[in-house]
Amino acid sequence: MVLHKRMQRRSFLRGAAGFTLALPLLESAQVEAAMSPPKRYFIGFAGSSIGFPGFNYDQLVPDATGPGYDVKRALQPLLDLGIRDSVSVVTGMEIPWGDAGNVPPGGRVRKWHATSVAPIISGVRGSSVAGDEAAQGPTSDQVAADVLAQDTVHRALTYRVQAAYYRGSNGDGGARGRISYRDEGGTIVPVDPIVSPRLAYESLFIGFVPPDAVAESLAVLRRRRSAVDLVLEDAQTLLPKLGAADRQRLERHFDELRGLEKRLDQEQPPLEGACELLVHPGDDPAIGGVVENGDTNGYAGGGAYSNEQRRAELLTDLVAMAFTCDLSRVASMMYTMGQCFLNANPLIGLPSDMHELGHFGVGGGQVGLDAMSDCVAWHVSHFGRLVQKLNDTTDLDGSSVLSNSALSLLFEGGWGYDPESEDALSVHSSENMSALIAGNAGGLNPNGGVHVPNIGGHPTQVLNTALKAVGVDQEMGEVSGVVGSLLG
Amino acid sequence: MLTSMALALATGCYTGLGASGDGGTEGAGSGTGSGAETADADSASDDGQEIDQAVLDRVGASGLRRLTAVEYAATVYDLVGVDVDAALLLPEDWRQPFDNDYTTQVVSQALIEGAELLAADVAALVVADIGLREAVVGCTPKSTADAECFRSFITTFGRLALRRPLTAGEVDRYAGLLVEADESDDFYAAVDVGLRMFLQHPEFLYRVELGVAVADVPGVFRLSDHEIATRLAYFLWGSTPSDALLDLADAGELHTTDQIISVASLMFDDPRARARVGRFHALWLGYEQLPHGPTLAAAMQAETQALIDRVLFDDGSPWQDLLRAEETFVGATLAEHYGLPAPADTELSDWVPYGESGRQGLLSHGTFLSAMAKVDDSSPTKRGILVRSRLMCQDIPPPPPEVNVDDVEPPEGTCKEDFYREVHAQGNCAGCHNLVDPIGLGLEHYDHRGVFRTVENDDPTCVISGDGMLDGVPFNGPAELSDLLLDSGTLNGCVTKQIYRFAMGRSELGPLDRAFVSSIVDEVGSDVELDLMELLLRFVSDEAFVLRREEEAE
Repeated sequence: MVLHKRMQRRSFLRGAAGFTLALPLLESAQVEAAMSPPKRYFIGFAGSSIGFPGFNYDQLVPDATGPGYDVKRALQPLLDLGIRDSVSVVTGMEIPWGDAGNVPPGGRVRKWHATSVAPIISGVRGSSVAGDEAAQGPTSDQVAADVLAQDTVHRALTYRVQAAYYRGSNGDGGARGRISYRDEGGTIVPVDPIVSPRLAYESLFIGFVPPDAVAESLAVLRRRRSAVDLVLEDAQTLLPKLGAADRQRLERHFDELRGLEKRLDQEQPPLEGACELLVHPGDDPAIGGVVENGDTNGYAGGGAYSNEQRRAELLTDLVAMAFTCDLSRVASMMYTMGQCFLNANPLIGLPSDMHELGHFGVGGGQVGLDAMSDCVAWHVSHFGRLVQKLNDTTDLDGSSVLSNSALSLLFEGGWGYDPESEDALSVHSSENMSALIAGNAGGLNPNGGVHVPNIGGHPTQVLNTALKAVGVDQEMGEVSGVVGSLLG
Repeated sequence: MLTSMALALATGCYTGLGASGDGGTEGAGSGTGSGAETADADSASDDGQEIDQAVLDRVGASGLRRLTAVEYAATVYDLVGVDVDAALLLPEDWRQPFDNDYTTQVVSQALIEGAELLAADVAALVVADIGLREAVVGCTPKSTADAECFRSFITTFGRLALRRPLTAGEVDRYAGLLVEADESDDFYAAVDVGLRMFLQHPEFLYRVELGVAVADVPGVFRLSDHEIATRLAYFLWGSTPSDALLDLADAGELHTTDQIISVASLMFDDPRARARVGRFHALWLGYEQLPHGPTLAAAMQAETQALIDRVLFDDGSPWQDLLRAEETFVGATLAEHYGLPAPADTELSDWVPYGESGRQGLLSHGTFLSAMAKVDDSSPTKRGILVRSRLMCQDIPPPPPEVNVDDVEPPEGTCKEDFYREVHAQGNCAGCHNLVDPIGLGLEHYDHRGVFRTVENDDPTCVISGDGMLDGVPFNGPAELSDLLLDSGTLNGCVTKQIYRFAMGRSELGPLDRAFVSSIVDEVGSDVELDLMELLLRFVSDEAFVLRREEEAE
């Protein structure tokens, strides 16, 4: 991969009415051979617990600690992908809980769905207001982007694989469909994920000029730029006419438009080495409809599914290439939403949704535990695929991109005591939580992939660890501490 | 001219022709932007007319409203005749229960890039289709860089897209896009850029309201005729004002109360009004997205839409008749689902009488009965909340966070009905649950799919009584509940409030908003039969409807 300073697209011609037209792409800037590769940060989220009701163990946590840990069913993809020794497993963690008004730092309220998401991603205790599941602080991807993004084309990629909520009237999942929040002057604002792989592709490769279609691509860029230029001018003209509140709203819109303008204007890295223009994904898979709970025919028929398998693959490829081409250094991927009603049948061959699998959707006992473990494994497989890709991509310094990255996979729940139902062995529990962390940025994983029990620690400490590894000197919200043995 | 415009209004056609906006009004930029005048409490004037303080006291705050995904798609279809599923590319609109609460809208990279890609898609579809592009452009270019034709396109389409005539300066600037035609040696390349630009324009994506400052009333503005046209169109049609509606605005004929009433009355004849009223009900009563497979969900929604069409539009009957209907529109499959006789022609849907089934009106539709269901069964509590909060507009506090509301199952050997009656009605839980559970228990004969049952799903030995209570009055089933609600005197006020929330794009109402609602309810009456069309006319003809108040900045 070649890195070079970002340049503004130069040499515009002025048209008769003052519009700009771009000349063909200039030669890329001088390679700065002395530049060290940037650090990359990734957080993946799985809307799934890892255990099964009635079981006092799961099929994720290895028996052995340290390197060379034994791989159980839920982590089988790590072996299949040949990356077990690049991925550490941190286990035995928990999120404390409390009743409204008494939620401990970094904790959640007693009610389960979906109150663990907010403290995991932000480190700030969840809201005590019933129904408010939004993060109460900025999330780690935004914190990382503040430091790492610099002049990259995309400050942070925010993706979601699960295309819809698939249940009831809450079509977009609300807070359950988001894991990225930023701080806007003291107000925590959700960041909408890109769900459409097509849009994610178009967004990521904005401005790329494939060598076999230079004229056509430049023409399209020119038109895009012309349109956005005019829109920006008019937005700027409109702003002072608005009242203060509306001005704030439009300024935010204007800021994002300027971001688009900048991305249209920036010179893209040359397509050489590992940096390549991926094949266009085409139209997005259709959005699946709702399947009634227990309707095995509906699940078997493919409802509640929008080819999330392909979506995950496409979005993973984009993250990998974004890191490779230095288009972005930060990415978040919400594989599945909190309380995930995604149809598991196309993924693991069981006619139920992921949430119901944890509630005897295909049966109890070992069958149920295996089903939950296979769902976990599906998430692990996509996370692992990203790890593998980055491991196989050479970075500027001759090492791999993975060696300059920190990647984490967090799960919505573990297993154990559920204070809501008072069941001792429930999947509605933030006890016995696990997380995966891969990459070697900043000396992360000095002993390769290891199993590290972090008994009683908070899952967000894994994010703290990843942030520290990439040089972000900030811990998340109210959760302090790192998994020290994972830092060199 | 009014007659021809009325016809055009009624059909809602994009004619491609309209009044030239060249050098017309200043457009939406005519407002001063912020009320800097100091208040003079003794007078307030609007175009020289005094505005009654009582009117000012019911002008709620309003802000920049972005088109929802559904509104975007409808707007694009009406503008250029192209079908796009905007929800695939735009961030989702939160349901509160309405999808158009502007106070929840946020801006993101996903929005900006989704809007750009959508604009590109629409432009490509239009340019690729000879018929569409001829309709949109409105003239045939005589050359690759036919400036006159391009200028005409900019002027005409721009007026429709931005919902106001363009200024001369804007036309000049946008006409400069013709340079793309030279670059590409293709006139329609310039059209492509023009379409992309208009569909990303802030005045397309957002409903910008500036208006004219009301003298001596800081922060209050009277909408321009074009802004009134836009408010009317998105309220009654969920889409952009038509060419004819804009013509009326251009001519200053959307200014007085009589003019607005006249136009709005004609707008009800448009099919979009039916769809809009249907959508209002679906979002309001929680059945816009149903927890069923697509075939059943579609059949149920068609059933309820048919009732709305018939009662409110075809028959012009009171809104209350939605709760009184003694027959329903179903096909053979849905009829069987409900246990009703099939239509005479089993290949078609038709009206089927309820007979002695105990069903009556909308509250016995699968749509209503499915809303707020639990995963695999009905929830008496949630149904009661649905009735109290959505139909009676009563505030039911959420459960304390420490209470388990998920997967609540009766202990083995305990019937669900007994569990709800005995467990929920105890201790600290009783206060809230006694408000809602008795209502839901009265609907328990109908499961979460609207199917009639006599015993509980999980235990056939548990016979369902279906005995419910609303504010101390017993009932059994949706027919009797409907009758109680009709007698409760709460429906008119609640319908009016919900319409206000939908119309103004705010879920949370402040004192000024409530004053607007109250003024209408006081005038219409709480216990009378409610003519929904008249109510909507009352809305749009209120002096406060054409005023806006700026929000406080955060």
